[in-house]
Amino acid sequence: MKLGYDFYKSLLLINKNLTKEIFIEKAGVKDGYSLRMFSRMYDSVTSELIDVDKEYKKYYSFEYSSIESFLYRKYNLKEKHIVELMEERKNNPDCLLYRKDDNSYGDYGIAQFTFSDTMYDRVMEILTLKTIQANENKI
Amino acid sequence: MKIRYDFVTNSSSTSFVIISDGEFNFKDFIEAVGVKDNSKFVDIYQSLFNAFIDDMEPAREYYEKHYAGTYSTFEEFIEKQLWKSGKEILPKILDAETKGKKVYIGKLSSDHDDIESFFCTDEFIIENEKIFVDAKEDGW
Repeated sequence: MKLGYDFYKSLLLINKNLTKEIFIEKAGVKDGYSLRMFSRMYDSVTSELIDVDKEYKKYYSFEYSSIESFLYRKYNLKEKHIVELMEERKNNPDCLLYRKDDNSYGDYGIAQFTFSDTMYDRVMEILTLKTIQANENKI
Repeated sequence: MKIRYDFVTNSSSTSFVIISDGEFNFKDFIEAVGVKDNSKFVDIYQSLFNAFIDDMEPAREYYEKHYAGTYSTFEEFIEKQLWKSGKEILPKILDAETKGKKVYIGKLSSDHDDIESFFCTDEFIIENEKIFVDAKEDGW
């Protein structure tokens, strides 16, 4: 899940076990331009990620009584988006909540395309490793 | 009086050169791109292939049709019109022609859809033993 909370700033749920190698493998690219493209995609998504839970616990837990309150007051998230986000976290216990500057990687094009309508669902499936876990649970 | 009634947009196009040993086909293209057959992203590269097919023309015909009035020779056209990689790619084109390979030129547009827009604004080379694609001409 990707949620914008300010101009070109987003909150993201990403599986804590995701690595660049897994991202590449799940994308189904092996070499050449597609490998370079998806490598850039991963680097763009993971560039300058800030762990929101750590940030909250370390700097803001004395000020805000819960992470929900922190998100509401510090980052001005709407209540319905916080509920949505917390529900998504509950359904994806292996995911960590991050925030980032959308263009921190410096490659505007790849950052835009990664979360375009064409790519969003497929990229999120890899970032949360949803399919993998579903398959593992079946086994 | 002038009233703006919509967003200001900026569209562009990016020239590409394709050198192909034989007909430029999807099977060879996808192999050169490096994506696996079962990848969930094959459609992205299918769209790129279609965009190439839709706009590419044999290089010398392209020159005669669009730029013969601007540049006095085909070689000058390649060197000057492809401002980023023209000097580098000209020997490759001439060599390919002597070997009977097919050389095409065309443009990707940022006006069609989000996939072509991305590739139009990206800078890339696709290369293997059968295909060489130079799409480094973006000015973004």
